Amino acid sequence: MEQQNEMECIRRILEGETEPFSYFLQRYSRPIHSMIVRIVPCREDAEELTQDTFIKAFKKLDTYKGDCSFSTWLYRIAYNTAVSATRKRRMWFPVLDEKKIENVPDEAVDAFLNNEEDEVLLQKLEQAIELLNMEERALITLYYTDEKSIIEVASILQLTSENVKVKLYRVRKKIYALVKNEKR
Amino acid sequence: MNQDTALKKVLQSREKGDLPYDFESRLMRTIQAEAVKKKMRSAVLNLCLVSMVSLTMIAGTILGLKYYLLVHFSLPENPFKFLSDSASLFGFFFYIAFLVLILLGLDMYFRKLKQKSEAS
Repeated sequence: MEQQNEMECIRRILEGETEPFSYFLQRYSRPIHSMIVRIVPCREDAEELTQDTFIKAFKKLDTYKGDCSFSTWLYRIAYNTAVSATRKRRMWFPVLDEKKIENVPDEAVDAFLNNEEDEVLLQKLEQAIELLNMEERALITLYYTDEKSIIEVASILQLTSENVKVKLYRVRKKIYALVKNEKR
Repeated sequence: MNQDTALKKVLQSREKGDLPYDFESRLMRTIQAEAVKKKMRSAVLNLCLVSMVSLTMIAGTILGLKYYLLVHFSLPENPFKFLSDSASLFGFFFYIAFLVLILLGLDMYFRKLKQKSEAS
């Protein structure tokens, strides 16, 4: 039903009406803004990037072929807009030794990421998330906060499903390694 | 993997940020301005295209006429000869053409009527 509504709005916008676009704004402006706020290091830019996302979507609406849901298509534009803005600013993210990440035992990561009682650990976890790069933040935000499926995340980040799984597995280990690294 | 309750808790507690109350109305105004620009761009593009095609056709006609006049500069003495048997068909042809025009006119009239009734 929602998809039918969205397709009807898209058809009307492509015929020259602008009013149906307010439906997309009401529905997606806040989730898109929340995602951008969580992945862009500079919070002040998030509103501008949200606006850019919707203007781009309006301009490129004729390129939406309906091969994925409209929300996935919109999230993809938002992610690409955020990535371009970050690239222009040449952000710096710490690089961890790959061996260090690989050597982290799975059981330790599972226990650590499910320990929601320890407030100190939660604080450290938050600090570790701040050190992740854009793609890694987008990955965990879409998967854990927006509760998108692996297929949707793959479509938004333009990766394969297998790649998303591998990256998620690696990010979990990286977060653990960052917290342990900071402890020492 | 998607259990990771601690990670979920931290991500959900992180700053969500909020949009100003007039964000949607401001953005709608920008979208409307963008739509006007889009229409203008498309009108200019159409005008350019029509001008180009017209100019090409005019140039083609001029070149064609020039070539035709150079090659066949002498016209036959009487290019329109009416034979008595073909002249009798002209009446029939005019009758058909008149009928077609009447039908096209009626078609247009009824289409307009239908559009008006749909609009009201």
